Amino acid sequence: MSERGLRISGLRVAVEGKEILKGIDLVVEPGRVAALMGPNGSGKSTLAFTMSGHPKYEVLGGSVTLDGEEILGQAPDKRARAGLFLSFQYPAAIPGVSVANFIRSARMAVKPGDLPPKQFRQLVFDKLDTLDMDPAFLGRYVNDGFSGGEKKRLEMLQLAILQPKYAVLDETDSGLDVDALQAVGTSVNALRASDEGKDTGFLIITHYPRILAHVPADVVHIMMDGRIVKTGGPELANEIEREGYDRIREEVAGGVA
Amino acid sequence: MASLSPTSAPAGATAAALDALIDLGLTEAAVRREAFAIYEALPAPKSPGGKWKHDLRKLDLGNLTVSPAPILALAEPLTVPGAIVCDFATARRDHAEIFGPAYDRALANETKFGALTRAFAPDGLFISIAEGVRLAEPIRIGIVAIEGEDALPYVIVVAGARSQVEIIEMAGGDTGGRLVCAATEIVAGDDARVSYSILQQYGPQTKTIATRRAIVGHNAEVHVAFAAIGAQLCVEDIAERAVEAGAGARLTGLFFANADQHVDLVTDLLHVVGSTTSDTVVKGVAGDRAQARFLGNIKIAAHAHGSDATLRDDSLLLSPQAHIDSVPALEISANDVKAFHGATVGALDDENLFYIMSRGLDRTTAERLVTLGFLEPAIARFPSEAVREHLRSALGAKLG
Repeated sequence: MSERGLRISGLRVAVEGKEILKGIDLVVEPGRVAALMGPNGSGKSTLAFTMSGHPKYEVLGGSVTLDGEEILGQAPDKRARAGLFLSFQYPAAIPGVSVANFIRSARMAVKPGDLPPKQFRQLVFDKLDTLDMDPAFLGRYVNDGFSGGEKKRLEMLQLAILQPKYAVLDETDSGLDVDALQAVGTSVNALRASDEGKDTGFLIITHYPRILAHVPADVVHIMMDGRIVKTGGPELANEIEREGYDRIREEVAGGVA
Repeated sequence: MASLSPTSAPAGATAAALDALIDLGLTEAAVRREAFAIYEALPAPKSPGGKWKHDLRKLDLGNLTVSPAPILALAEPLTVPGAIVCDFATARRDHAEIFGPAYDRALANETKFGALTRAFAPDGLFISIAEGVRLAEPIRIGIVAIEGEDALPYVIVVAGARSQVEIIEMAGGDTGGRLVCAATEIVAGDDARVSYSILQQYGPQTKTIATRRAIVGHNAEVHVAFAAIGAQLCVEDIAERAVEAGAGARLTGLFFANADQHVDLVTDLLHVVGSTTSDTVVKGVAGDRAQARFLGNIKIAAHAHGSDATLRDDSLLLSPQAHIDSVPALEISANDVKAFHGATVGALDDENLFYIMSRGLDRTTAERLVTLGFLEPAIARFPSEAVREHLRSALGAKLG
């Protein structure tokens, strides 16, 4: 059980009484990038929220271990302190709470007392630069009145500052223009190239393969109707790019029949 | 100042007690008797009824024992030419030409309990800023309620033309179930800038009832900013009148009530003439079994054309037993005016809390962040950073 990695086994999850995830097995290795692709409604976001501990998602069975420790049943904040990070598809606004205050509080919570204020400031400004973000961002209220692109940049800023062991990026590419997508890619790659982030394992959840052109996946899983129906290398993403999900759907249906 | 001691002071909010105090040396007998008659004639404000536990009509003032002690104090002495800060007795003697007309306005008499303060306050604090004098540093007033005595702090502020002053009232102390009945009167001359901030942090047994009145002159601006953190019962009745063209009245109200606290906040922004502005922001939080009511009134008089009024109030409930009634009322009797009102009432949002917790912060911390964030737009309106920091830390401490 002490095996490293973010390990999902036999995970079954219901939302409001309806089973959405019907037995998921998936491993995110340290320092590696796994992609989870699938059409809308296949259960990708349910997996992300369940791993992070959203109370709306009812676990019917299975387990999720982070470097050997079971995290299902833990409060969301405990999972975060264990090293899990979720980049939200629709991050919540927190009016009245400045970005600076929020990221400082979050960093102190997940890595207590590890950085003196001066070094923390330096880290923040470095990451703002990588993400091509204006330092004026720090004085704004968290996600309050942010554009879609600004919200995703703030998620990436938090990722870069919290330096988690495992990061789940839920549809981070959706709604982004080319520049913002480029900034996301640069940020993730910068983290992966750094000492603090070289062992971070990524689970990139996406509908479209385009983010994988910026952050190449080591392994690609295809999810349909609450199950992983196909797993392959980076070429699987290209296949979806060319042919969409229909062919895989037929293939799976054919396999079952 | 009358030399009274609590043991010799007659008790009770009665004409006989007032007469006895006057015999003991209180000056301005006629003014006091007139104010007391108004106190007796005016009805107590109606309680909202329903489950509201406090009722001002049933407030027992049979034991009213007026504190003779200097409940108003300056944090530091003020020696700026053109600025006067002194007690009423001194003002009456040395600055009669300014104090007299201000005192005679009798703005406190507009409410029942303001009239009570005017009738019984042994003395008061007079602040006068001469024409064209702009104070760089705020004037800090401390109101310290003393155990076993009722406090009647009475403050009169006169800001001359083109003057500028920031006044910070820090009110605290535990009166062990006694009353603090306060009156503040502000008169701002042409082009004057006045801000008056109140940080109320009385102990959990205190009842406080305050009347604040401001008259805003030509192109002048007055900002009354009020924060209620303490006291068992906190009643604030704040009215600002824009009486000449170009006058701007600002009002900020902030309260955080928990346990069994009650807050009753009434604001009146009156556009007496046209081309005046008013801007009211109220943010209230109630937790546990706390109850609060906010009556936000805007009145634009007939012919006050070109008035511009905004009223924004938001309420946050931290528990299912907490209750906030928000009752805005816009009474507009002129054409060609701008009037905006927006209000929300909500509870803590689970998605917000989940988002914050997903960053490693526990639920209590997440709730504190959201609550302080909710109040921040009101905190941000307090004029000085020192006050804003004080507020954030006092509110943070109360949130646990």
